[in-house]
Amino acid sequence: MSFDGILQWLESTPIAVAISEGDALFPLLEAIHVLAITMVVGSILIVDLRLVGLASNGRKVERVLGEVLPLTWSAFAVAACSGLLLFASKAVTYGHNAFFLRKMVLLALAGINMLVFHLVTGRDIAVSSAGTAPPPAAKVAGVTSMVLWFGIVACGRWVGFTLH
Amino acid sequence: MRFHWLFQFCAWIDQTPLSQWIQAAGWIVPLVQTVHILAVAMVLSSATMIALRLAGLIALDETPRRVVARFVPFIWWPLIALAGSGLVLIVGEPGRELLNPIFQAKMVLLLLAITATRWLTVSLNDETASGTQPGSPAGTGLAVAPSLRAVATATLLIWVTIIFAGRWIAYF
Repeated sequence: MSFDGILQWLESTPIAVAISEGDALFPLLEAIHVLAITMVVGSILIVDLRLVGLASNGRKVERVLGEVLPLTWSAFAVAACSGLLLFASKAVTYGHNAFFLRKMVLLALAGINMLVFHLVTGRDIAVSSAGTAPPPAAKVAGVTSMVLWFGIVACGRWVGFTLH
Repeated sequence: MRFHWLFQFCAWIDQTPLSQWIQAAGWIVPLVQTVHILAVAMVLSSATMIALRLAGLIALDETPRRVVARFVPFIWWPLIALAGSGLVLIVGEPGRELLNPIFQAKMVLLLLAITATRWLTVSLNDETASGTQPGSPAGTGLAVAPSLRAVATATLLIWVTIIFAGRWIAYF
Protein backbone atom coordinates (compact mmCIF):
# COMPACT_ATOMS: atom_id res chain seq x y z
CA MET A 1 0.00 0.00 0.00
CA SER A 2 1.29 3.44 -0.91
CA PHE A 3 1.70 6.28 1.60
CA ASP A 4 -1.44 7.94 0.22
CA GLY A 5 -3.23 4.62 0.38
CA ILE A 6 -2.45 4.33 4.07
CA LEU A 7 -3.60 7.91 4.68
CA GLN A 8 -6.86 7.27 2.84
CA TRP A 9 -7.44 4.03 4.75
CA LEU A 10 -6.76 5.81 8.06
CA GLU A 11 -9.23 8.53 7.18
CA SER A 12 -11.93 5.99 6.35
CA THR A 13 -11.74 4.08 9.64
CA PRO A 14 -14.96 4.40 11.70
CA ILE A 15 -13.22 6.31 14.49
CA ALA A 16 -11.67 8.82 12.07
CA VAL A 17 -15.06 9.35 10.39
CA ALA A 18 -16.72 9.86 13.79
CA ILE A 19 -14.14 12.55 14.67
CA SER A 20 -14.36 14.41 11.38
CA GLU A 21 -18.16 14.28 11.15
CA GLY A 22 -19.09 14.91 14.79
CA ASP A 23 -19.39 18.46 16.09
CA ALA A 24 -17.74 18.18 19.48
CA LEU A 25 -15.22 15.35 19.16
CA PHE A 26 -12.57 17.26 17.19
CA PRO A 27 -12.56 20.35 19.47
CA LEU A 28 -12.54 18.09 22.52
CA LEU A 29 -9.56 16.07 21.25
CA GLU A 30 -7.82 19.28 20.26
CA ALA A 31 -8.21 20.73 23.76
CA ILE A 32 -6.88 17.49 25.28
CA HIS A 33 -3.97 17.58 22.82
CA VAL A 34 -3.10 21.19 23.72
CA LEU A 35 -3.33 20.40 27.43
CA ALA A 36 -1.09 17.35 27.08
CA ILE A 37 1.42 19.23 24.92
CA THR A 38 1.68 22.12 27.37
CA MET A 39 2.36 19.56 30.10
CA VAL A 40 5.02 17.79 28.00
CA VAL A 41 6.75 21.02 26.97
CA GLY A 42 6.42 22.64 30.38
CA SER A 43 7.90 19.68 32.22
CA ILE A 44 10.74 19.43 29.68
CA LEU A 45 11.40 23.16 30.13
CA ILE A 46 11.83 22.58 33.88
CA VAL A 47 14.64 20.15 33.05
CA ASP A 48 16.10 22.35 30.30
CA LEU A 49 16.18 25.40 32.56
CA ARG A 50 17.96 23.30 35.20
CA LEU A 51 20.48 22.10 32.62
CA VAL A 52 21.35 25.64 31.54
CA GLY A 53 21.44 26.76 35.17
CA LEU A 54 18.39 29.04 35.28
CA ALA A 55 16.08 27.08 37.59
CA SER A 56 16.15 24.54 40.43
CA ASN A 57 19.89 25.17 40.77
CA GLY A 58 19.98 24.01 44.37
CA ARG A 59 18.79 20.56 43.33
CA LYS A 60 20.64 17.75 41.60
CA VAL A 61 19.77 17.27 37.92
CA GLU A 62 19.11 13.63 38.72
CA ARG A 63 16.45 14.54 41.26
CA VAL A 64 14.81 17.13 39.01
CA LEU A 65 14.64 14.46 36.29
CA GLY A 66 13.16 11.99 38.74
CA GLU A 67 10.32 14.28 39.80
CA VAL A 68 9.55 15.58 36.30
CA LEU A 69 9.95 12.68 33.86
CA PRO A 70 6.96 10.56 34.99
CA LEU A 71 4.83 13.62 34.27
CA THR A 72 6.50 14.17 30.89
CA TRP A 73 5.97 10.60 29.74
CA SER A 74 2.38 10.25 30.88
CA ALA A 75 1.49 13.57 29.23
CA PHE A 76 3.39 12.49 26.10
CA ALA A 77 1.29 9.32 25.90
CA VAL A 78 -1.89 11.43 26.02
CA ALA A 79 -0.50 13.89 23.44
CA ALA A 80 0.50 11.05 21.08
CA CYS A 81 -2.89 9.28 21.32
CA SER A 82 -4.95 12.46 20.91
CA GLY A 83 -2.59 13.59 18.13
CA LEU A 84 -2.98 10.30 16.28
CA LEU A 85 -6.77 10.56 16.46
CA LEU A 86 -6.71 14.16 15.20
CA PHE A 87 -4.34 13.11 12.41
CA ALA A 88 -6.57 10.19 11.40
CA SER A 89 -9.60 12.47 11.01
CA LYS A 90 -7.86 14.42 8.20
CA ALA A 91 -4.98 12.08 7.40
CA VAL A 92 -4.60 13.03 3.72
CA THR A 93 -4.56 16.76 4.48
CA TYR A 94 -2.14 16.50 7.42
CA GLY A 95 0.01 13.94 5.62
CA HIS A 96 0.71 16.50 2.89
CA ASN A 97 1.06 19.54 5.15
CA ALA A 98 4.65 20.82 5.19
CA PHE A 99 4.39 22.12 8.77
CA PHE A 100 3.00 18.85 10.06
CA LEU A 101 5.92 16.98 8.48
CA ARG A 102 8.40 19.50 9.92
CA LYS A 103 6.80 19.06 13.32
CA MET A 104 7.39 15.29 13.11
CA VAL A 105 11.04 15.79 12.08
CA LEU A 106 11.63 18.22 14.97
CA LEU A 107 9.93 15.78 17.34
CA ALA A 108 12.30 13.03 16.21
CA LEU A 109 15.28 15.38 16.69
CA ALA A 110 14.08 16.25 20.22
CA GLY A 111 13.93 12.52 20.93
CA ILE A 112 17.47 12.02 19.61
CA ASN A 113 18.73 14.99 21.67
CA MET A 114 17.19 13.41 24.76
CA LEU A 115 18.67 9.98 24.00
CA VAL A 116 22.14 11.40 23.42
CA PHE A 117 21.94 13.27 26.70
CA HIS A 118 20.69 10.25 28.63
CA LEU A 119 23.05 7.69 27.15
CA VAL A 120 26.21 9.66 26.42
CA THR A 121 26.78 13.21 27.61
CA GLY A 122 24.48 13.17 30.64
CA ARG A 123 26.10 10.22 32.39
CA ASP A 124 28.52 12.29 34.41
CA ILE A 125 25.97 15.09 34.97
CA ALA A 126 23.86 12.77 37.06
CA VAL A 127 26.64 12.48 39.61
CA SER A 128 27.58 16.16 39.54
CA SER A 129 26.46 17.83 42.73
CA ALA A 130 23.81 20.44 43.33
CA GLY A 131 24.67 24.10 43.16
CA THR A 132 27.60 23.70 40.78
CA ALA A 133 27.72 25.30 37.35
CA PRO A 134 26.35 22.89 34.75
CA PRO A 135 28.93 21.41 32.36
CA PRO A 136 28.89 22.65 28.73
CA ALA A 137 27.35 19.40 27.44
CA ALA A 138 24.34 19.94 29.71
CA LYS A 139 23.93 23.51 28.51
CA VAL A 140 24.08 22.40 24.88
CA ALA A 141 21.46 19.70 25.51
CA GLY A 142 19.20 22.18 27.34
CA VAL A 143 19.41 24.92 24.72
CA THR A 144 18.96 22.42 21.86
CA SER A 145 15.88 21.02 23.55
CA MET A 146 14.35 24.47 24.11
CA VAL A 147 14.94 25.49 20.46
CA LEU A 148 13.46 22.21 19.18
CA TRP A 149 10.35 22.43 21.36
CA PHE A 150 9.78 26.03 20.33
CA GLY A 151 9.89 24.79 16.74
CA ILE A 152 7.54 21.88 17.47
CA VAL A 153 4.91 24.13 19.05
CA ALA A 154 5.34 26.73 16.28
CA CYS A 155 4.91 24.11 13.53
CA GLY A 156 1.87 22.73 15.34
CA ARG A 157 0.35 26.20 15.38
CA TRP A 158 1.22 26.77 11.72
CA VAL A 159 -0.53 23.54 10.73
CA GLY A 160 -3.79 25.12 11.90
CA PHE A 161 -3.23 28.12 9.64
CA THR A 162 -2.22 26.23 6.50
CA LEU A 163 -4.98 23.62 6.15
CA HIS A 164 -7.03 23.80 2.98
CA MET B 1 -28.01 46.21 24.05
CA ARG B 2 -26.05 45.39 27.18
CA PHE B 3 -22.62 45.14 25.58
CA HIS B 4 -23.10 47.84 22.99
CA TRP B 5 -20.03 49.74 24.19
CA LEU B 6 -17.95 46.56 23.93
CA PHE B 7 -18.99 46.10 20.29
CA GLN B 8 -18.04 49.69 19.55
CA PHE B 9 -14.72 49.25 21.36
CA CYS B 10 -13.96 46.13 19.28
CA ALA B 11 -14.92 47.93 16.07
CA TRP B 12 -12.63 50.79 17.04
CA ILE B 13 -9.64 48.47 17.79
CA ASP B 14 -10.33 46.59 14.58
CA GLN B 15 -9.70 49.63 12.36
CA THR B 16 -6.53 50.87 14.14
CA PRO B 17 -3.36 50.62 12.04
CA LEU B 18 -1.83 48.18 14.56
CA SER B 19 -4.77 45.78 14.33
CA GLN B 20 -4.83 46.08 10.54
CA TRP B 21 -1.11 45.29 10.43
CA ILE B 22 -1.50 42.20 12.64
CA GLN B 23 -4.40 41.01 10.50
CA ALA B 24 -2.51 41.58 7.24
CA ALA B 25 0.73 39.89 8.32
CA GLY B 26 -0.23 36.22 8.45
CA TRP B 27 2.74 35.18 10.56
CA ILE B 28 2.13 37.34 13.64
CA VAL B 29 -0.87 35.47 15.09
CA PRO B 30 0.63 31.94 14.91
CA LEU B 31 4.01 33.20 16.20
CA VAL B 32 2.44 35.03 19.15
CA GLN B 33 0.22 32.00 19.83
CA THR B 34 3.38 29.88 19.97
CA VAL B 35 4.88 32.19 22.61
CA HIS B 36 1.53 32.12 24.45
CA ILE B 37 1.45 28.29 24.47
CA LEU B 38 5.06 28.02 25.69
CA ALA B 39 4.34 30.43 28.54
CA VAL B 40 1.19 28.44 29.38
CA ALA B 41 3.37 25.32 29.42
CA MET B 42 5.62 26.86 32.08
CA VAL B 43 2.66 27.91 34.22
CA LEU B 44 0.95 24.53 33.95
CA SER B 45 4.02 22.43 34.73
CA SER B 46 5.00 24.70 37.65
CA ALA B 47 1.47 24.63 39.12
CA THR B 48 1.49 20.83 38.70
CA MET B 49 4.80 20.47 40.56
CA ILE B 50 3.49 22.65 43.39
CA ALA B 51 0.21 20.68 43.61
CA LEU B 52 2.07 17.34 43.51
CA ARG B 53 4.43 18.43 46.29
CA LEU B 54 1.63 19.72 48.50
CA ALA B 55 -0.26 16.47 47.86
CA GLY B 56 2.81 14.67 49.18
CA LEU B 57 3.58 12.89 45.91
CA ILE B 58 6.97 14.31 44.84
CA ALA B 59 10.11 15.97 46.26
CA LEU B 60 9.35 14.81 49.81
CA ASP B 61 12.96 15.49 50.78
CA GLU B 62 12.34 19.20 50.19
CA THR B 63 10.07 21.43 52.30
CA PRO B 64 6.83 22.55 50.63
CA ARG B 65 7.99 26.12 51.00
CA ARG B 66 11.20 25.43 49.09
CA VAL B 67 9.37 23.65 46.30
CA VAL B 68 6.91 26.53 45.98
CA ALA B 69 9.79 29.02 45.99
CA ARG B 70 11.47 26.95 43.27
CA PHE B 71 8.44 26.92 40.95
CA VAL B 72 6.33 29.99 41.70
CA PRO B 73 8.61 32.38 39.74
CA PHE B 74 7.84 30.21 36.71
CA ILE B 75 4.17 31.06 37.20
CA TRP B 76 4.63 34.84 37.69
CA TRP B 77 7.17 35.51 34.89
CA PRO B 78 5.31 33.59 32.18
CA LEU B 79 2.14 35.46 33.21
CA ILE B 80 3.80 38.67 32.02
CA ALA B 81 4.57 37.01 28.66
CA LEU B 82 0.99 35.72 28.58
CA ALA B 83 -0.44 39.19 29.18
CA GLY B 84 1.76 40.66 26.44
CA SER B 85 1.10 37.95 23.87
CA GLY B 86 -2.60 37.84 24.83
CA LEU B 87 -2.86 41.58 24.27
CA VAL B 88 -1.40 41.26 20.77
CA LEU B 89 -3.94 38.51 19.96
CA ILE B 90 -6.79 40.70 21.26
CA VAL B 91 -5.67 43.67 19.18
CA GLY B 92 -5.41 41.40 16.13
CA GLU B 93 -8.88 39.89 16.56
CA PRO B 94 -10.78 41.97 19.15
CA GLY B 95 -14.24 40.60 18.37
CA ARG B 96 -13.11 36.97 18.46
CA GLU B 97 -11.78 37.45 22.00
CA LEU B 98 -13.54 40.23 23.92
CA LEU B 99 -17.06 39.37 22.76
CA ASN B 100 -16.54 35.65 23.32
CA PRO B 101 -18.21 34.24 26.47
CA ILE B 102 -15.47 31.62 26.72
CA PHE B 103 -12.80 34.34 26.69
CA GLN B 104 -14.71 36.26 29.37
CA ALA B 105 -14.97 33.14 31.53
CA LYS B 106 -11.26 32.54 30.97
CA MET B 107 -10.40 35.99 32.36
CA VAL B 108 -12.52 35.41 35.50
CA LEU B 109 -10.83 32.03 36.06
CA LEU B 110 -7.44 33.69 35.53
CA LEU B 111 -8.11 36.17 38.34
CA LEU B 112 -9.15 33.25 40.52
CA ALA B 113 -5.97 31.28 39.73
CA ILE B 114 -3.74 34.29 40.42
CA THR B 115 -5.48 34.99 43.73
CA ALA B 116 -5.24 31.35 44.81
CA THR B 117 -1.54 31.14 43.87
CA ARG B 118 -0.79 34.32 45.80
CA TRP B 119 -2.76 32.98 48.78
CA LEU B 120 -0.75 29.75 48.68
CA THR B 121 2.64 31.47 48.79
CA VAL B 122 1.58 33.93 51.47
CA SER B 123 0.03 31.19 53.63
CA LEU B 124 3.13 29.03 53.41
CA ASN B 125 5.33 31.94 54.45
CA ASP B 126 2.96 32.99 57.25
CA GLU B 127 2.75 29.54 58.73
CA THR B 128 6.51 29.35 58.69
CA ALA B 129 6.89 32.75 60.34
CA SER B 130 4.27 32.34 63.04
CA GLY B 131 4.88 28.64 63.59
CA THR B 132 1.18 27.76 63.88
CA GLN B 133 2.03 24.11 64.06
CA PRO B 134 4.73 23.82 66.72
CA GLY B 135 7.40 21.32 65.84
CA SER B 136 6.29 21.04 62.25
CA PRO B 137 5.08 24.30 60.69
CA ALA B 138 3.65 23.70 57.26
CA GLY B 139 6.32 25.72 55.50
CA THR B 140 9.47 24.40 57.12
CA GLY B 141 8.42 20.88 58.05
CA LEU B 142 7.70 18.20 55.52
CA ALA B 143 3.97 18.01 56.34
CA VAL B 144 1.34 20.10 54.56
CA ALA B 145 -1.86 21.59 55.97
CA PRO B 146 -4.94 20.07 54.25
CA SER B 147 -6.23 23.52 53.27
CA LEU B 148 -3.02 24.27 51.35
CA ARG B 149 -3.18 20.89 49.66
CA ALA B 150 -6.80 21.48 48.61
CA VAL B 151 -6.12 24.98 47.29
CA ALA B 152 -3.09 23.80 45.30
CA THR B 153 -5.11 21.02 43.65
CA ALA B 154 -8.03 23.36 42.96
CA THR B 155 -5.66 25.93 41.45
CA LEU B 156 -4.21 23.31 39.13
CA LEU B 157 -7.73 22.37 38.00
CA ILE B 158 -8.46 26.05 37.32
CA TRP B 159 -5.34 26.29 35.12
CA VAL B 160 -6.45 23.16 33.25
CA THR B 161 -9.88 24.71 32.69
CA ILE B 162 -8.26 27.94 31.49
CA ILE B 163 -6.23 26.00 28.91
CA PHE B 164 -9.34 24.15 27.71
CA ALA B 165 -11.17 27.47 27.48
CA GLY B 166 -8.27 28.96 25.52
CA ARG B 167 -8.59 26.30 22.83
CA TRP B 168 -12.39 26.55 22.80
CA ILE B 169 -12.41 30.28 22.09
CA ALA B 170 -11.99 29.25 18.46
CA TYR B 171 -15.28 27.34 18.50
CA PHE B 172 -17.62 29.94 20.02
